[in-house]
Amino acid sequence: MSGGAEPRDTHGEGRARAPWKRVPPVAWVVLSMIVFFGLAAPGFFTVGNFLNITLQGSVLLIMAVAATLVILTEGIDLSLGSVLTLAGVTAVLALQSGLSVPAAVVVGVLTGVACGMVTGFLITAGKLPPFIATLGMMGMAAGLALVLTRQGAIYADLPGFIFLGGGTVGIIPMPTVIATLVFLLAWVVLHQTDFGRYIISVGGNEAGARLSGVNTALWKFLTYVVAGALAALGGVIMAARLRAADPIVGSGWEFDAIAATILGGTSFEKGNGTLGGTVLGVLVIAVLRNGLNVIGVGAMWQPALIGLVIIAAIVFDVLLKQRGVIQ
Amino acid sequence: MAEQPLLQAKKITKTFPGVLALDTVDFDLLPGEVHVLLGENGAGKSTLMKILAGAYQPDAGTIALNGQEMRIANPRQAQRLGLGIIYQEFNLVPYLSVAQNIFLGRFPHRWGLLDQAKMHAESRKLLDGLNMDIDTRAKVVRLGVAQQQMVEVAKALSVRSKILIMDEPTAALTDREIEQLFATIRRLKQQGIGIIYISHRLQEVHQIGERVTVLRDGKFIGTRQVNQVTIDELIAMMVGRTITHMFPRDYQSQGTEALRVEGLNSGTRLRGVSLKVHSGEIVGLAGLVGAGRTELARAVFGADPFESGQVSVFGQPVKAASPDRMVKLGMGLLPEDRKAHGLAMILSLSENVVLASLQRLFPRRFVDGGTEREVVAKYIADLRIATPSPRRLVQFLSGGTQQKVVLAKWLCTHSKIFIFDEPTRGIDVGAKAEIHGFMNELVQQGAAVLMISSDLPEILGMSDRIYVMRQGQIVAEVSREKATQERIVAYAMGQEVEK
Amino acid sequence: MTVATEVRSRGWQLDPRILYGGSRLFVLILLCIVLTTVSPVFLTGTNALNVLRVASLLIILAIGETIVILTAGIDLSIGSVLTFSSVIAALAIKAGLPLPLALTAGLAVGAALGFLNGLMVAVVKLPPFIATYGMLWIASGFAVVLLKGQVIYGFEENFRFLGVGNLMRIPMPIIIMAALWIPAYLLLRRTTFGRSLYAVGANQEAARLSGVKKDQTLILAYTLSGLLAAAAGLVYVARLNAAEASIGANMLLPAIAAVVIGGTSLFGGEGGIVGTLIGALIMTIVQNGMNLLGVESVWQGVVLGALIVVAVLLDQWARKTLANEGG
Repeated sequence: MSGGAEPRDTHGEGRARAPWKRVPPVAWVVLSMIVFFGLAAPGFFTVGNFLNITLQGSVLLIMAVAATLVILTEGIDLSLGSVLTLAGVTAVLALQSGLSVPAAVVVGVLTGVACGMVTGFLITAGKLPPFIATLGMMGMAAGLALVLTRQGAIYADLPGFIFLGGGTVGIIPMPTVIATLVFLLAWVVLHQTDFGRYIISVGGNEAGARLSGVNTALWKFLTYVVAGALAALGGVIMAARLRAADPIVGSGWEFDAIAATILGGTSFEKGNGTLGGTVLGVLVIAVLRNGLNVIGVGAMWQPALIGLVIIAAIVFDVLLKQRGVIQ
Repeated sequence: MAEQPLLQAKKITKTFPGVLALDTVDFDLLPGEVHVLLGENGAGKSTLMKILAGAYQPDAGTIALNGQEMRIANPRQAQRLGLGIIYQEFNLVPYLSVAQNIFLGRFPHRWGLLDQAKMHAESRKLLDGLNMDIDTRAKVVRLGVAQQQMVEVAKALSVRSKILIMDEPTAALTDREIEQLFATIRRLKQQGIGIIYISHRLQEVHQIGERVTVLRDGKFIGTRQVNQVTIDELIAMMVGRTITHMFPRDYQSQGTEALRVEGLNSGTRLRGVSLKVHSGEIVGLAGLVGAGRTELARAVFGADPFESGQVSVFGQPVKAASPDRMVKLGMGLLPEDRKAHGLAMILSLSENVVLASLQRLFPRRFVDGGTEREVVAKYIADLRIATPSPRRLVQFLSGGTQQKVVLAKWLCTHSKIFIFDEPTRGIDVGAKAEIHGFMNELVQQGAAVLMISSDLPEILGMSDRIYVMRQGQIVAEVSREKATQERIVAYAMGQEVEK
Repeated sequence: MTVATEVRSRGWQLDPRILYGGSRLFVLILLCIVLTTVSPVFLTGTNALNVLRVASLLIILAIGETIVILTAGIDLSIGSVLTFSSVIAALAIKAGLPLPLALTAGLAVGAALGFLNGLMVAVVKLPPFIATYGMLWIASGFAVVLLKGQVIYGFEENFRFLGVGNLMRIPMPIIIMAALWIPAYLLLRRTTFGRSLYAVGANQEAARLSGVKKDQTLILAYTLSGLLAAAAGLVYVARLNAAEASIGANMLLPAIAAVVIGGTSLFGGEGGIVGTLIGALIMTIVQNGMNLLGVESVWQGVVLGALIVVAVLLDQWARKTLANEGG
C-alpha cells in the first residue's frame, strides 16, 4: 500500500502548477533559434520572412495536426505522406479532366477521406495494429499515385487553383490562412466537442471509456478519416504551390509530421498532448529550415544540421522533464 | 426486513470456453445495505459483477430490479437502469478533467458544443455532496488514488445510481482515506442506495457490511448476516477447508547480520533511515501508505538512486548500487506491483523463473534448454505452482500463482536476502497461507527477510521484529513480544504510545 | 480482475507463440503453391536462387531492425546508416586502403552510429522514434556532405565479388546473409543476451529489477542494428558497383514491413528473425511473382501495401481459429 516510486503526488489534490512551468521546453528552443538567427542575419527578422516561415510550414502544420489527432488516440498514421501525394494527383487529374477548381479540391479531399475510411476500418473492424494498417495504406496510396501519373509529374495551370498555393489574403499567403483555419477548427473540435473529448478518451483509457458507454470504435474510425482528409488538403495545397502533382512529393512527410508532434510534447501514450505544442514543433522545423537558408548554409549541410537540432530539442525536453522542472 | 430488494439475481450461470465461471448463483441486494461479496481469485466475483454491469450476458438465470425482471444488455443500459460500477482499474480518462470524466459519454451541450459551465457546476454539486474538495477542472491524472475513486463515485451518482458495485475499493488507500470512504458509504446508505462491496480484506466485512455472500469456484456457498458469522467461518467457506496455519512461524535465534542500512537519505522521501536484518529472521516494515517503505526497498536494492547513506551486505558496504549488483551479492526484491515490476507478462513461466539467474545458471552465456527445464521443474514442484505447462504465458496464471512465479525467480538466484513488498496483496486466502509457509522455510534455511506489509495481522503474525516508518523515517523498532496492532498503528500515525 | 485470471487451464497446452511461425509459414507455402500453378518458371533453380538473392539484402537489414523492435523500440535510421557506412567504405577503398581494412571501417562506422542510437535511447532516455529519426537526418546529411554530389563507382574485383560472385554456385549475398542470420538466431534464442533482450522488450522495468543489465542490452541491440545496416550496405554497393547518397533512402520501410509481416510485435518481447526471414521471403516472392506475370512495376507498390495488410489479417485469423480449436 505504499505510494510507489513515482514522481507525482500519489495522494495529492491536483493543485495547478506555476504557469511558467507549463511552457513546453520546445518553446524555449524556438525562441532561442529565432534570437540566434535574428542576430546572425539581418534579413531574418522581417515581416516578409516571418510570413515566409509560415508559408513554408503551413502544409507541415496541417499534416502535423492530423498526426497529433491520431497519436492522441494512441495510434499512428504512416500513410499521411502518401495520402498527400495521392490527393494532389487526383485533384490535378480532376482539373485536367475539366472539373472546376472547387470540385477538384473536393475530389482531392475525398480521396483522403476514402483512404482514411479504409485505414480506420482495418484498425477498428479488422483489429490491425495502426502501424501495420497505415504502413499498408502508405504503400497502396503511394503506388496508386505512381500508377495514375504514369510515374511522371502532371501539371496544373488554372489560376483559380494556383491561387490556393500562391495567392495571398492581404499580405498573408493562402496556405498560411488555410493552415491557421485548420488549426483553429481542430482546436475547437478537440476541446469543445464530443469528438475531441472522445479522441482523448480512446487514447487515455479505451477500455474504460467503452465501459462507460462510449462507442470507441466509431470515434477511432472517424479520427483516421479526419486525418486522411487533412493530409489530402495538404496535398491539394502542395500541388497548387508546385503547380504540379508529383508522385513522390509526399514521401517522408509523415515522419516530419510525427516528429513535429512529438517535439511539441504530445506523447505516444495515454492521450496526453496539445495542438499548441504541435504548432511549436512545426515551428522548430520551419524556423530552422528558413534560418539556415537565410544565413546562407548550403542545402548540402541542412539535413545533418536539422537532425542535430531535432535531437538537441528532444534532449532538452527530456532533461527538463527528468529534473522535474516541468511535467 | 420485508423490503423490496433493489436487485435479485437467481440461478445465474455463465460459461467461457472450457470454464464454468458461475454455476446457478443467487444474489440479492436490499436498499440501504452494504452486501459484501467474498471469494478467492477465480471464484466468480468479477464475472458476476460484469454481468450486473451489462458487460457480459448470463447463459441462464434471471435478474430482477425492483421486482421487475430485466435484461441488462450493455453497460449503457446498466447505467440507465441505475447500476453504477466502480472497477478496481478505474474507467477514468487520465487527461480529461474531473468534470468531463464524470459526464463521460453524456456530455451536456449548448449550441452544438460542450456545455463546460454546466458540467463544472453539476460536478461541483456532486463532489460537495460527497464532502470532497477536488478541483473539477483538474486533469484526473494529477489526482491521488483516493480522489480518483471519489470521482468514480460522483460519476456513478451522476447517473442516479440506486445500486453501486465497488470492486476492491480499499486496495490502494491509506487508513485515513479508508475511513473517509466508509463515511461516504454510510452517507450513501442513508439515501437508500444499495452497495455490493467486493473485497479481499476480511476485516472490512465486519467494519462496513450488513450481509456477506461467499462464492467458491463459481458456486454459491452461502449468504450470512455479518453479525452472525466469524472470520474463520468465512475463510472456511471461501477455501472449503479450515486453514489452521495462517502464519506458520518457527522462531529461532538471530543469525549473523545480513543487511545493514545506515543513514539513508533521498530528498524528502527518505530521511536518515537505518535498520538491520539478520539471517534467520523476518523483519516486518510497517507504516502508512506514503511513509516511504517501497522507496526504501527500492533504494536498498539499487533500483533508485539515493543521496547519502550506506547499504552493507554481509558486512561489506556496497558502492554504486544497481539491481544487477545487488542480485550478484545475493539480494532479491519482490515488488509491490507484481504485474508491472515483477513479471514479464507475455513471456512464459519458465522464462520468468530463470530471468534473474541467467548469469548463474549459464556462465558461458549459452542457454541450455535441459538445465532450464530441470531447474524450473524443481521450483514448480517445490512451490506447488499450478500450471498445465512451464511454457504457459504468465499472463494467463492466477494472482497467487503469479506471485509464486516471482518467488521462484528469486529462489532460483539462491539469494540470501529477500525484500518482500506486500507479498500477499490481492491474493486469496489459500495461496496467502502457502506463501507464508514458504517464507518460513526460507528463514529456517538461513535467509534474511525484510517484509513490507500493510496487513497488520500478517506483520504481527510473521515478524521477529517490526520497524515502523513514518514520513520517511524509522520511528520505532518493536520486538515480537511487545508488538500489538494498537502500538504499531500509534507509531505509524505519530501518536503517543504507552511504554 | 480480468477474465484471464478466472480462466484456469485450457486444453491447448502449447506456448501460443509457436502459432506465430506456423501461420506465417502457412501463408508462405500457400503463396508458393499459387505461384507455381500460375507460372511454371517460378520453381526453377535459377528463379529460386534469384528470389533468395534479392531477399538476402532485405533480410540482412531486417535482422537488425528485428533486434531493435524486439526491445519495444524502433530504428528509423537504418537506411541512412546503410548509406553513410557504405560511403565511408567506398571512400576508403578509393583512397587505397586494403580491402579488409576498408570493409572493417564501414562496418565499424555502422556499429558506431548504432552505438550512438543506443546511448540516446538507453542513457539519455530519448524516445527511440525521435532519437533514430534525428540520426536518420544526421547520417544521410553527412553522407551527402562527404560525397559532394558525386557518385563513387568502379570498384575492384575482390570487392565486387561480395555482390556478384558465387560460392559453390550460390550467389554471395545469400552466403553472407546466412553467415549473419545463423549466428543472429543463436544469439537471440540460445544466449543470455537474447533472453535479456526479450525480457527488456516484454517489460523493461521488471527486467531491470530482475538484475538484467537493461542499458547494456539496449545499447548492444542498436549497435547490432547499425552493424547489420552497414553490412547490407556493403553487399549492396558491391553489387551496384556504385555508391551514392540515395542508396539507402527507400530501404527503411521494406525492412520494417518484413519484420512486421514476419510477426514480430511492435510492443516488444515477441517474435524473432525466423518470422522476419519468412516475411522478407513473402515480400520478395510476391514481387517476383508480379515480375513473372508481367505486372507493371508501378503496381508493385500497391500490391506490397495490400500484402502487408492481408498477411497480418490472415495471421490474426489463423491464430484465432487455431486457438479456439484447442480450447
